[in-house]
Amino acid sequence: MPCRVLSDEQDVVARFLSKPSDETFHELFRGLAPRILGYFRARGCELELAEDLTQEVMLAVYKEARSLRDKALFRPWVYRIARNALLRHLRDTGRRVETVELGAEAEGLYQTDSDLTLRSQFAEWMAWLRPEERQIMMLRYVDELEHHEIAQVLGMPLGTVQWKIFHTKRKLAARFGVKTS
Amino acid sequence: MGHDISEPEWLEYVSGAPPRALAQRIESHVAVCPECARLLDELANWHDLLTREGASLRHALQLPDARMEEFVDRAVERVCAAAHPRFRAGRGRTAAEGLFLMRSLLEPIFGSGTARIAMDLAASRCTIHPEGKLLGGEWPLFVRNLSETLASICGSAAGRLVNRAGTCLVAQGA
Repeated sequence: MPCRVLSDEQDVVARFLSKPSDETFHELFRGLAPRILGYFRARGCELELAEDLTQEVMLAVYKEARSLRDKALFRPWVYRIARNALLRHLRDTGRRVETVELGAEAEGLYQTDSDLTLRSQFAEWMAWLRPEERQIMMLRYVDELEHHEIAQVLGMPLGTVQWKIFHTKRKLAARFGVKTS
Repeated sequence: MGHDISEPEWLEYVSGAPPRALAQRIESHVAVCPECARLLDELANWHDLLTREGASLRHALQLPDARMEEFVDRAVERVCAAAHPRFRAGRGRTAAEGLFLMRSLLEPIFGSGTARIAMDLAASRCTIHPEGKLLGGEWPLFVRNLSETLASICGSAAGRLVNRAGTCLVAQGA
């Protein structure tokens, strides 16, 4: 099961949301930072930049978590902040952002030749997809978000996300065949 | 998708946790429909491959534990400092910030005149520098002076309050 939210992660989030303090935040940060750092690195950010952006995301979490109305949406809310931070960084550094906003994030995936992502089988498949397909599949299989969480992050209807995942898998199968694990 | 099975239902089935009724419906259908049996193979195969390779990429991007610990500690400190820009965490707080906080506590209780005079007297009996740190500086001496001064004016409870507040300002964040 790739998309299970670990119960201890939920506990840490619940503790922070019910009693936001430096102590509960530290605990939350310890659990969440590796995922957020991984989010940026999987999209081609160098380690130093990924750390800076993660810090930026966590600062927003620290400041804004009290305003989160539906606590069940914490995870997609955090990933939406991460996604916006990455888009803002791409704009601020003058990198080309495609007209369709969804493309900007995906563009970041291949920004450095030396990046680990380029050497993975997963990246080979992703390179072949369209940007919006790629970002949905990455949120699903690298970031381990549930379908409804992806819908929240991208502001898409749930049915659209499921439809795209279904057809993207068929597209991959048509291009790369059915492989034995 | 035709054959009365929708895309979300196929996804739910291959993800591994379908409701019993859905599982039975799909299994009885693919048993008699080669086209859907092929589709199921294809979807299940790619679900497994993507799950495995996604996990592999995630693992490759992970930092070593020690490096991650170092990053977390450093980042938490920065985030908390940025979230409370006026005051740094207790141990890094300056004497000026400590004096401001102490006055903010004492004035509503003892009145602004008494609080100001007591603090001026206490400060005149030590060399406290506004930009100096509370920890390791003249702060403990200032707190003792202030405690004695206020105790002589307002009673021993006032002295104890000052001592506790002085210690808390060093030990805790704002």
